[in-house]
Amino acid sequence: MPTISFLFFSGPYQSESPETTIELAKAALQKGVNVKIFCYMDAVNCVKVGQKKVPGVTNIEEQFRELIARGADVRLCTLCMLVRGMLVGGAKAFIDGAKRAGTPDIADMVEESDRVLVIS
Amino acid sequence: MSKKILIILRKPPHGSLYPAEGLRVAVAVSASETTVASIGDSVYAFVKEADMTLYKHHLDFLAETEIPVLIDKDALETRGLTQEDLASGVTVKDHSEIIKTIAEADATLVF
Repeated sequence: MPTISFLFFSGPYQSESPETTIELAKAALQKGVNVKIFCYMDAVNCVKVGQKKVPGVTNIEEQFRELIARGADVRLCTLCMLVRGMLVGGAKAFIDGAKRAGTPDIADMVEESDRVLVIS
Repeated sequence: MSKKILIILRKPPHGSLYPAEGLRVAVAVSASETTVASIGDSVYAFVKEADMTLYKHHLDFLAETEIPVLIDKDALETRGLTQEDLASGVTVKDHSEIIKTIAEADATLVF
C-alpha cells in the first residue's frame, strides 16, 4: 500500500492550510493510501484539546480526531509543544492517538513514504 | 539505499524561525544523503554578521559531517551580497545547479 507523508507547519484558524492538509489526507485515506502527518511548529496547535466549536468554521480538533480514527499516523514535534506550553501541568493537552515525536521521525517518514508533501 | 533529502530554506532569519528549524531538521535527517539549499531571503541567515545563536551549532555539525549547504548565487547577487559576505562552511552555486539539485532529490522539505 502506498504511503504519503505531510510535513505540516500551520496553526489553526488563521489560514486554510489545516483544512487543505485535512482534505488531502482524507482523500488519500479514501483511496487506501497510508497517511502520516508530522505537525511541526504552530501546527501542533491543531491537535490541542478543547477547541471551541463555531458554526460555519471547520473544527480542526474534530477533523484530526477523525483522521486518526481512520488510520492516519499523526506525530507531533515535542520541542514545538514544549515551547508552546502544551506539556505543562500534567494534563494531556493534545488529542488521543496523536504521538509525541521528534525531528528524527521526519527522516523515518521520508524513508517510509512514496511522496512527501510540505504544507506551510 | 537511503533517499536523497533536500532541505530548502527560503525565509529570512529575521522575523521567522524557519531557517533555524530547517537546519535543525537537516541535522536530524543527516543519516540520509542530505543537502541544504538556501534561496531567496534565507541567504541572510548565512551573512557573517547575522545572529546565529539559534543555529550556529547546526551549521557547525553540517560542516563537520560534510553535508553541503548551497547558497543560490542569484539570490545573493539580487541582494547585493557576495561569497565574501558569508560565513565559512557554505558553498555558492549557480541557480541552475540549485535547480538540478532539486530535480535530483527524492524528497524536498521546504522551510
